[in-house]
Amino acid sequence: MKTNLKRIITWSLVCLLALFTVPAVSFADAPMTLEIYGGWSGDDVAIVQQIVDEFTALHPGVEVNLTLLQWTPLFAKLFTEVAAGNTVDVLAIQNMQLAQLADNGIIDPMPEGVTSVQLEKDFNPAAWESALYKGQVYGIPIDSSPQGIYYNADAFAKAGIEAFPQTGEEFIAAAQKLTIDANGKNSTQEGFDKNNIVQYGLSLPSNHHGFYLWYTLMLQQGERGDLFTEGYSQVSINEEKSNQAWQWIQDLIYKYGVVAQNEMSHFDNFMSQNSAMVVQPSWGLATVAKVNPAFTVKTAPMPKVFDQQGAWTCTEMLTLPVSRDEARRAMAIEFVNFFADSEVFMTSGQMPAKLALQQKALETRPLLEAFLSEIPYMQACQTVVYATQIFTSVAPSPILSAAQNAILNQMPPEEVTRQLIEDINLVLDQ
Amino acid sequence: MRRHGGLVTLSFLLPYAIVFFFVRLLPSLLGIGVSMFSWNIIGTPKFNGFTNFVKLFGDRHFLAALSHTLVLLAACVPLLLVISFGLAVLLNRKIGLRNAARSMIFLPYVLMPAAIGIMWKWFYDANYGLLNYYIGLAGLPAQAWLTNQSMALASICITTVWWLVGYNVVLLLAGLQGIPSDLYESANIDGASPWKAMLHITIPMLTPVISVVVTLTMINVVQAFDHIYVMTGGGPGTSTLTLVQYMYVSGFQNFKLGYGSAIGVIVLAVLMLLVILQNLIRRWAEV
Repeated sequence: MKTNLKRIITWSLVCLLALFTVPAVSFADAPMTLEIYGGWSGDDVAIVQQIVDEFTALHPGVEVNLTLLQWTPLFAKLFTEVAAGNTVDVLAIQNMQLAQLADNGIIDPMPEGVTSVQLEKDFNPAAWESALYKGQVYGIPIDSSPQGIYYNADAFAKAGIEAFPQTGEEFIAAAQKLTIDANGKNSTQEGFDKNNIVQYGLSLPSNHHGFYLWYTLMLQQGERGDLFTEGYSQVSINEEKSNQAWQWIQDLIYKYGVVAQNEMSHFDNFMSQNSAMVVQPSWGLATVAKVNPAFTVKTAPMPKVFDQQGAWTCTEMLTLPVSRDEARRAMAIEFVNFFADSEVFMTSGQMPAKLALQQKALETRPLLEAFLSEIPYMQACQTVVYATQIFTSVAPSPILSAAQNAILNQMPPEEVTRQLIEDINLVLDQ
Repeated sequence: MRRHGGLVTLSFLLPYAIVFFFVRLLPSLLGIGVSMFSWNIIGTPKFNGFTNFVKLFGDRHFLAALSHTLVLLAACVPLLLVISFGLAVLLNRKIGLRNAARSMIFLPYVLMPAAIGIMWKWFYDANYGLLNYYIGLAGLPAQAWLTNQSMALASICITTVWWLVGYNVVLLLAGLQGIPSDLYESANIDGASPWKAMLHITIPMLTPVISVVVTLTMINVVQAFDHIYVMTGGGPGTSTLTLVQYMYVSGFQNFKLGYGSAIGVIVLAVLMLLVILQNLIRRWAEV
């Protein structure tokens, strides 16, 4: 009896010891897990995973949990995680979303000396400006995506156009020569059959990117200021210049007939050779490389339609969500530095925000040259707290409505401008 | 024995009841509660009573979404009922390739709505779509199916009917096959025409099934989201914006959970009203 009792007590003590010792040992050796969220998709996923793998290889005690979703579900998940008190260590965003995240206390300003190099002079100006909000740096830009023109060089050669058009008039003239009917006549020739067009001169986006084309044309008219008044109480748009911008876009479709009416898939139509040119940001280069079309694709900067050069751009950046874990925060900063300096990301075809990486990117994607040439004058839309309501691609988006009213519904430009101002002010007035 | 039978019944129902309570009922009740708050997920919810509902009825996007949803209901429900009834009657006969036809008619219903949206977006393409190609062969002018504000909702209706018709056919076919054949034999002996047999035997006998089909169709049409979101995103402009999309956008894109939940309550109210109305009409018709 005594022996049995002794045995029971001994084994109980052994078990208790094991219960507290093994987990302590396990926790002491548990790897640090970084939660990284991003909206990358398609071919970018494998590239980002490669960067993560290289980072974890250099940091053996660190694991990375990569969450990649489309932007809307990504932010829904992010907000839910933050509300639940869970830490997200690094968040990739687009510049428009910055103000909303900063104002809601989701992301922290970048700490001093966050990168291995001095900040401002190492990035293209538009990307750097995008990372600022209320005077503080909130993100490290990783890529810029300015709007430009992709064109079918074979169609250009066939039409006898030697140099890419530089001005608005030259651009329209080229587009007219490139709008071909089933009989091979272009739209400037006698007997051209406008009901039997096999190739249009140009494809335009009829989604929210139609608004960004408008923005490019506003920049070209010297409207380089903020889109919103101080305090974001109202939108600030020069109505006369806005009308001129919408009119120019509409004329391409309804006056010169060089853009198909009711076009829904502008880049697909270009890649299928249904049009000879297309307006698209630099991210289209990845598709060109992947599809490897049967014709020669070249790129060009946006033509100078009005008085100045100008091109809309957007910036992707890495930000640091609020965190109380100092060790994880330090590792997150290391990851941000690592990603920002990574040459691997350039293989995705994105245009690097960091100037030092541009030459490398050009070696990988020579077609980037046209977009790189826009750096001196490209500009991103100002960030705003209600970005997800204004700069969104689905209804009831003010910018989508404006683009579609102008491009699809041929609403008078004055009406488009008036409605755009009204819709945005309605959002700001909440 | 009865008590034992009751326990057996309960044990079969309990797993579903638990799942239903936690996945459907409780979130719905919480959603009704959230509709009375102003909340962006990360902040503290602020109680604001019926303010969200008052704001809704001054919100032109909501009113547009409500009208589009009601228009879809008014168009899709009768169309679906008539087409699926006709197909069910046809498939109830001994025709060649009947089984293959049944499978083909049901197939759209098992496809992912988002895939349906992608497919139909290409069918409807104004310049390169199949529909305009065939229309062109018939000598008719091409239509801007999804890019014309006046036409986009009708195009959505066509796709919705194509998607849901198979499900209704299955239900109606089951109902038709449950009608005793001797009723038709007696009618035949009495000299009733096929049309009279349809009016006085088939439709009255099918009334309970038709009632279920109408209720389920209304729910499916009101809840339709994926294919509309993919095809038009609520555009052009806001011409195909529906209540469910506006609810999604308000809650998950704009982070106005209270406002989005209020839209959800309106959706629930609309459906309940329609179901009650439908039951009243059915009872009146029976009398």
